[in-house]
This record gives sequence, structure tokens and C-alpha cells, in this order.
Amino acid sequence: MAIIPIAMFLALFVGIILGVIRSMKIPVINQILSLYIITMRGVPTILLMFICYFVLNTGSDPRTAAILALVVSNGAYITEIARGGIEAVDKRQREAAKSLGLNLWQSIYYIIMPQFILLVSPAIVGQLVLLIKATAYASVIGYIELIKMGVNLMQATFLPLPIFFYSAVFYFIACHSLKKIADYIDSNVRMKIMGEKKDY
Amino acid sequence: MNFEWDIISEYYPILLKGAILALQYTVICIILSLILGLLVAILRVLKISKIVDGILNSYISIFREIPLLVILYFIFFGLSQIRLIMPASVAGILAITLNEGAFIAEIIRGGFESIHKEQWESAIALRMTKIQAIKYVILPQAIKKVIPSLVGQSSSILKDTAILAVIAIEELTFSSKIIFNATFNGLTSFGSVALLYVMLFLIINVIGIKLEKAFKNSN
Repeated sequence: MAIIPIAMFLALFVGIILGVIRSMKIPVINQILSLYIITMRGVPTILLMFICYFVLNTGSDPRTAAILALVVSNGAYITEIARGGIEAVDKRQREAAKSLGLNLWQSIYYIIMPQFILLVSPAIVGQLVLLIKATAYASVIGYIELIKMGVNLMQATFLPLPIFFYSAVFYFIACHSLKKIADYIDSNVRMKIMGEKKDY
Repeated sequence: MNFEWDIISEYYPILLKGAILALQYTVICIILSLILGLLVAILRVLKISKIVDGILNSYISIFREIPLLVILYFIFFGLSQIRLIMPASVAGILAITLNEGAFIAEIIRGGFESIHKEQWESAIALRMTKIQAIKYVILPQAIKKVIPSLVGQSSSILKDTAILAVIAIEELTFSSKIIFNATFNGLTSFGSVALLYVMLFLIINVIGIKLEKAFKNSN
């Protein structure tokens, strides 16, 4: 279960960097990244886990393979979210910052980044929830986490129902709390700043 | 490890069978989860009673936040403990339908809420019952708005069918394991299956774009 925060941070890191690169629209790199994103949208997570485990790691460490698969697939989605966020921050903001005499880093830090984070946070939280759920699939390559432990227990005790019920409860609590926290921050902080009204 | 075409020419029947099975499961699950999602969304919008709303909301919350794999294990292994045994394919279809149905219910609800209140009010002013209002006025507009999201959800369903491999259903992902266990050439076995999945994904996307255009033109 430790792979959850590791995978989250790596996926965010990779996704945001690639998102910035995509927003710059460099000719060849953009096509390659488009291909990468389409592939990640089409290939199931389980298959990706198999590929990372067998092709790249040949049975040594399911944990690394699982993290790699999660980062690669979720990174693609985060790239698109980040690119959307960057392009949504109006170009005029950058030009206005320049005309005020701010250099590149200052304008990013004070003007663009806050708006970007506010725009992008709901979508990113949604993606992170998907990532948490995707860690469940790591069990198919033998990574011992909650579900694999459950499967092992089930084969030992032949009592699947309570085992999987508790696994379900765990995932539900994890995802639901993340969602509730995100909703709370979202409605109280983000919407107040951006001046939107609450939507039910 | 090289990509070897001999392996593909030898094992392509398995790949083909797996792809066809994956498509079959995808289509069945798309239809069933659309029906379920539509039903749930309409029931919620009718606001029948607080209890029904509570049940539906919990269904959506629970099945959106539990991973599909857990749902599948629960249905297939867990229910067998209380003597509710079912074939693997039924368990798989049930799991995917329940999971995706919740997502689709949310998408359709978003579509409903994006429609101006005035539509509702004018429908009621014309003395339509709520159900008639939904059927003739609200639903067509809502569906038109959410077609792109539904197409995206359909490609999610395609990826979901890969999970059925853990229940030993011989669809595409399972075929990739069969070929790998036979040849130990990961690049060929998994790579070809990945390519097939991307092709299926693109096919679904193209169908989706055509659907979008068709819906756009019909008004």
C-alpha cells in the first residue's frame, strides 16, 4: 500500500512536466506524446502491469513494475489535465505579467501557478482517486497489497465474503475521504477565490 | 527479446478469439450499464422519495469508489460463500455493469442538470407529467450533451473487460498470458495484445465520433 503515495507523486511529477512540454507544442515531441497518450488511453491497466512486470522487469520486483505501470498510465491522463490547465490560463495573463516587469519565474510563481492549481485541482483529484483504485490491480502481478493478501487469506480460510467486504470497505473509506476532503477544499477555498457559486 | 512474427502467425487464432470475446463483453456491458445508468439517473431526477434517493446515492458512491477488481472478487468469490454461485462470465458482466452503471448515472445526471430549468417549467406548463417531460423534452437534450462522455466511458468499459482475465475468461488479456506462458517472449505476446487493444479503442472512438455527428444533425 506504500505504492499509493509514491505512484501519486511520480505520476503528478511526470504528468505536469509532460503537460508543460505539450503546451509548448514542439512539433516532433508533440506527436510522440500524442501517441503515448492515445496508447495509455487504449491499453488496460492490467495489461500494462503485465508488460512492465514481464517485459521490463522479468519477475524481479512486482512493486517497481506496479509503480511504473501506474505512473505511466496515470501520467498520460495528468499530462492532458495539466495541458488543459495551462492553456486555460489566459495568454493575456502572461503578457500582463511581462508588461509589469516580472521575469519568467516570477510570473509563473505569482500569477500563473495559483490560477493553474485552482483550475486543475478537481480534475487532478479525480485522477488520483482513479489511481488509488488502480493500485488494486497490482495484485495480479503478485504485489502483496490488500487484495492479494485477501486472495491468499481466502485460499487459506475459504471465507471470501468477509475478506473482500473489508477490502471494499477500506477502498471505499480511502477514496471517499479523499473525495470529501477535496470537495471541502474545493467548495470553501477554490470556489470562493474564483467566485463561482456552489453547484449541487 | 525481439518482436517475432512467427509467434503471431502461430497463435493468431487465440488472439482473434480473445479480441472477439473482448468486443462481445464490451458491447454487452455497454448496453447493460447504459440501461442501468439511465434508470438510476431518471429515478434520481424524479425525486420519488428520500429513501429511494438515499439508496441510489449510496449505490453510486459505493460503486464508483470501490475498485472493479474488488467488486469482481466480491461477486465471484464472496457470493459463492453464501451459496450464490454463478458462472464466471455472469459474474464479470454483473461486476462491470454495476461499476460502470454508477459512472454513467453520474454522467447522465450531469446532462440533466445542465438543462435550463425553463425546459422543465414549460413542460409542466404544457400539462405533461414528469415522466412525459423527461421522455420527450429533457432526455433527448441531455443525451445529446453527454454523448462524448458516454463514448469515453465506453472505452473505459473496453479496458474493464481486461479484468475478466483474472476469472480465467479467455478474452484478450488472458490470451496474452497464454501466449507468454508458451513462448516467454513478452514483447510479442503482450505487445501484440496492447496493439490490438489500441486498435479496438480507436474503433470505438471512431464509432463514437460518428454517433456524435449523427446526434448533432438530428434535432
